Amino acid sequence: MRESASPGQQAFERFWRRAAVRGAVIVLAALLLVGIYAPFLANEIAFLWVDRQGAHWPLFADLFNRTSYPRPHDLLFNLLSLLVPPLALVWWLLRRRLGIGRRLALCLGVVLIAWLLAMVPLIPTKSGWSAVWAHRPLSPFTSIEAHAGTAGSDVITAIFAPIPHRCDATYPGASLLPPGSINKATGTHFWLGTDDIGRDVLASLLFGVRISLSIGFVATGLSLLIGIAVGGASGYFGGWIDVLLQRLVEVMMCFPTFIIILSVVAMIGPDIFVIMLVIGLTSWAGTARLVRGEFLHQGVCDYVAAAEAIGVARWRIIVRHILPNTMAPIIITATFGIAGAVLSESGLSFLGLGDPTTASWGVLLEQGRENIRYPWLIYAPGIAIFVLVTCLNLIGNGLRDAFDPKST
Amino acid sequence: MNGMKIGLLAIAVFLLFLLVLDRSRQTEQFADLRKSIEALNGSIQQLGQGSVRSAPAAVESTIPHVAGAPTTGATPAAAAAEHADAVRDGNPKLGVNFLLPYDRSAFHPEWVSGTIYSLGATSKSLNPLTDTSAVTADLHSTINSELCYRPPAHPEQWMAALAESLIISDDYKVYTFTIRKGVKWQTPSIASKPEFAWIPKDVELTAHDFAFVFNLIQDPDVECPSLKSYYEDLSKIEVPDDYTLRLTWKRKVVTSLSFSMEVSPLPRHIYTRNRDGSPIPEKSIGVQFNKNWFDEERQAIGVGAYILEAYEPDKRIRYRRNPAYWGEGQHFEYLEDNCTIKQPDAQLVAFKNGDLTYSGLRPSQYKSEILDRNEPRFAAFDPNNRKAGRSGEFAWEECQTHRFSYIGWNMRSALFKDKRVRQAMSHAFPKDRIIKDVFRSLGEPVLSDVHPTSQYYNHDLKPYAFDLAEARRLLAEAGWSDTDGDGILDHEDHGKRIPLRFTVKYSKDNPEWDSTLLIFRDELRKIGVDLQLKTLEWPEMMRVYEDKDFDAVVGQWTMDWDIDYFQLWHSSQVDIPGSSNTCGFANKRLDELADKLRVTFDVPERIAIAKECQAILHEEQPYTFFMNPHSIFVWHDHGPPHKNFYLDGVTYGLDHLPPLTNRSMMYWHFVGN
Repeated sequence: MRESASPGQQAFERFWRRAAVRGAVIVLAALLLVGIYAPFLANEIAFLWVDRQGAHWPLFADLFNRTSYPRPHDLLFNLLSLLVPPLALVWWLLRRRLGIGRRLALCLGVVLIAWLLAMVPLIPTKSGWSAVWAHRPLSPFTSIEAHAGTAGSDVITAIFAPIPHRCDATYPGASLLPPGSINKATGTHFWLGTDDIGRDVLASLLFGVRISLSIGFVATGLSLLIGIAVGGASGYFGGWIDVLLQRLVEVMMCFPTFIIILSVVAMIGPDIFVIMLVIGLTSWAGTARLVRGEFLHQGVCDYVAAAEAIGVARWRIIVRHILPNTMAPIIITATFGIAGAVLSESGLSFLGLGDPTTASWGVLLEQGRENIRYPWLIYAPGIAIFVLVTCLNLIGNGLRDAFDPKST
Repeated sequence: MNGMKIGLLAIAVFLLFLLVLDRSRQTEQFADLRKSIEALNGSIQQLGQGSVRSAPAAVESTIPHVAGAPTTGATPAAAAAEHADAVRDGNPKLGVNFLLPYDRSAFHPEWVSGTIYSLGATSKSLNPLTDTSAVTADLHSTINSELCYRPPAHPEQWMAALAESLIISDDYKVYTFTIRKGVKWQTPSIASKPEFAWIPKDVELTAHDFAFVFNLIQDPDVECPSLKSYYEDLSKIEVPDDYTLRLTWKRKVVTSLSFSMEVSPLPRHIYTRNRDGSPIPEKSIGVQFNKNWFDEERQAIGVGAYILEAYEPDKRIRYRRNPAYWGEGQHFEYLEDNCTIKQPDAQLVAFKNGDLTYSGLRPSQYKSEILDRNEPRFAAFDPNNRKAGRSGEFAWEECQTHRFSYIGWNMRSALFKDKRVRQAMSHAFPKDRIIKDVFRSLGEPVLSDVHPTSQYYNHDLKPYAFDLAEARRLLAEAGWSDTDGDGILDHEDHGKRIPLRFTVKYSKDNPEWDSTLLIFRDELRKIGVDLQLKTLEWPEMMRVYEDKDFDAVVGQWTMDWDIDYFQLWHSSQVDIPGSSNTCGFANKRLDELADKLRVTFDVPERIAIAKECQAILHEEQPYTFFMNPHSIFVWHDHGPPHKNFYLDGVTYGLDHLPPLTNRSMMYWHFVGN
């Protein structure tokens, strides 16, 4: 090991040395890319459409159509699909000027601001102000039209996504078709078969990546936020604040999490965002305990005493001095947390409390349970969930080993 | 250490030995039990044969005993009814007894056997008047009988049952029944306990038992508001002698026919007594009846085909064949309802294991088990032979039901007050495709609230074909267009632009509706309409119907044989809380027709009125009428060796007792009421 490397770099080297972890990171990155570019992989709408009126690029125009993509997380991913190349360039250009943390913050900031701006009505139209992300008429340049067109007389040249099916379109007469069957409406194959109302399983699977990753990141982000705030305050201040907050944590821990999630979802209704929030709001107790322990440990260190001695503000000590030193275990738990959240959502959907209008893997799996004799409905989402959760767990394990000071 | 291991081993071997011993004994015990059951069967068969000696002998010889052999041509029962058809059109004849004689041809004493295990449910109370649940009604229809029945083959007519004759006065106001003699009340099972030794046995049914029911219903202390409203016009109940009952109605209304004739008696000798056998004072009978000791003991008796043997809430209900039954016998010695299995998948597994000998299949199970041949013990589907399912190890058959399902549009809402919008919705609803893809062709599309096989059905209605272009045109005509370019149609209402976006509320209990609405949603999306789904638990769903708190709602009604357009469609019902006119439908012409229908007794005239009502509803589309679902029944052929008793009983029922008159889906082909 090089002497000049920082502890972080050393840890990264230890992390990256393991083949299984490298594989898991690559698979996870691939899944992320699949999630981001899902509309380019599975879409009814043409990529390029040339007819007598000229050439169109309907898929791009449709990326911000709320009628096609009714959920906000879809917009985020669609935005990312356009922003990923420029952000990657910026990342590379700034590599000498800024550290990883600042570059990450910059990229996230750009995405977040773009996302928020896209939902604010800023663009003038004839009927008032409209947002980038608005309801628009559905595109007529679809694979169904093309199929009907080629059967008729119109001369059309169109380039489609590899899977020319919408993930939520129900195709007539296509109920529970086995993998490899032909879709009569478009003349193309259902490579992984269809579900009981004639939706393409493969298209649902690709869009399901988005849901699963969103659930993982949103729920875990929320639980981290609460966990760090509660644990940090509890560990740093001690005294009655600690006593009080720890009792709160104990109360939270006493509830069986999955049962709370079940009852809340049963009360509010199965909306995918409600499920994300509920998972996040109920799973922070473990993080809070961990963070409190780390803060108790770090709080007595000399650097904290030094900072206090020169009169640094308390919140600054917490955020700038102690927190970065406790990041390693937090990141490790977060990785496992994401895997746990994905599994929770699958479990909920499997029990029939999922959002039926969303193409999540859990909802697919539940269809498999209802139609138990049609194995592709179980294998496809089951393997997908297995791969994602295994990758996350492998990465979590790798991180734990890498940050463990005892391992060299 | 080794000693301990050997000791443990010895104990394990000993336990194993005990287990094996127990097993072998069990088979012995089982054989004994089987013998005794067969002996019992034999004696009961003799008993059954004795009790139907009065039935014409020719009947038995013409019925094929082999399962699966089709009974083509008219059976004696059907022939008799057809003969009757020539002289009767369903109009009650005035001044003379017009009841058909009681028909015993559906019973075959040689088929009596065993226990049938099926699914069931229990309710909070067994009170026949104050508990309005369907479960309680089913139970009482199994253990009790009515004054008159509609013959299964010809439900427009009336057949004598507990009443041997009925004479209706010329003004349709006075009904005089002659009660059958020699009908005995069942003895409740608690009568064997010493503290209930006072309960009299072999009590004969008299007209007083019926008068007792009418008096209870009219008693202001008895808590049965819906029943009370039916009998508001009943002015006089007289019992000139033990076997004569005379009812006098204030007005001439069609509904008084069935309210007079479809009445079951209640055991006066029990409900007028306290727990210790002392008589209850006349004044407090009504109050006591609401919460009476007989219910608390989970007892109910009647004069019907089965005796309630055990009633264990959420566990099981068990009935025993009534050997002293006055009517035609029943084919099963015992009926046992299992109330513990709720999940359809678990039900199917229980059926395959033999824990249930009789069950049903959901459309998805039908697709996977039968259509896709995943369970070889079911015979394959054969489009040319509707009865092909009977030949497998597990028998199955598709049967009609008497229900229809619909999507109701709330006409109070700004979205659906225009009939063109509702018509557009019907055009955008891919009815045939959904029946095929989701319900696996288990159902037939309906156009109105009348069963397609009924004489009242209007066959001239033109269905709303699935046609998105037509739907778009109708919406444009009604002023809906996408003015703000957001892909969703909108419309100006009272100076405000409202988008065509609505939520359909439906019950969680039917997973098929998830799929149905997702397909509908996908089609509506194409014409710029945004449909949202909301599933609710059943109690919450009841509140939605009662408060009319919806834009669109999914529902299901049972189609009665008697046609009545008042309850569902009369404008007087629009603002009544809890009324059945949930969509707020009001139409002057239909009001007139509905009122007229209630006082018109002549059947051809009633048919004409009913057809016009259906034409109005078809034009207005307060509902998008969806379909009349079909059920898949499955049953085991598990009779005693060499005899197909079960299959015979069931298949005969399937062939000869159409479901229109059934109360309970479970028993319609056994309890031929």
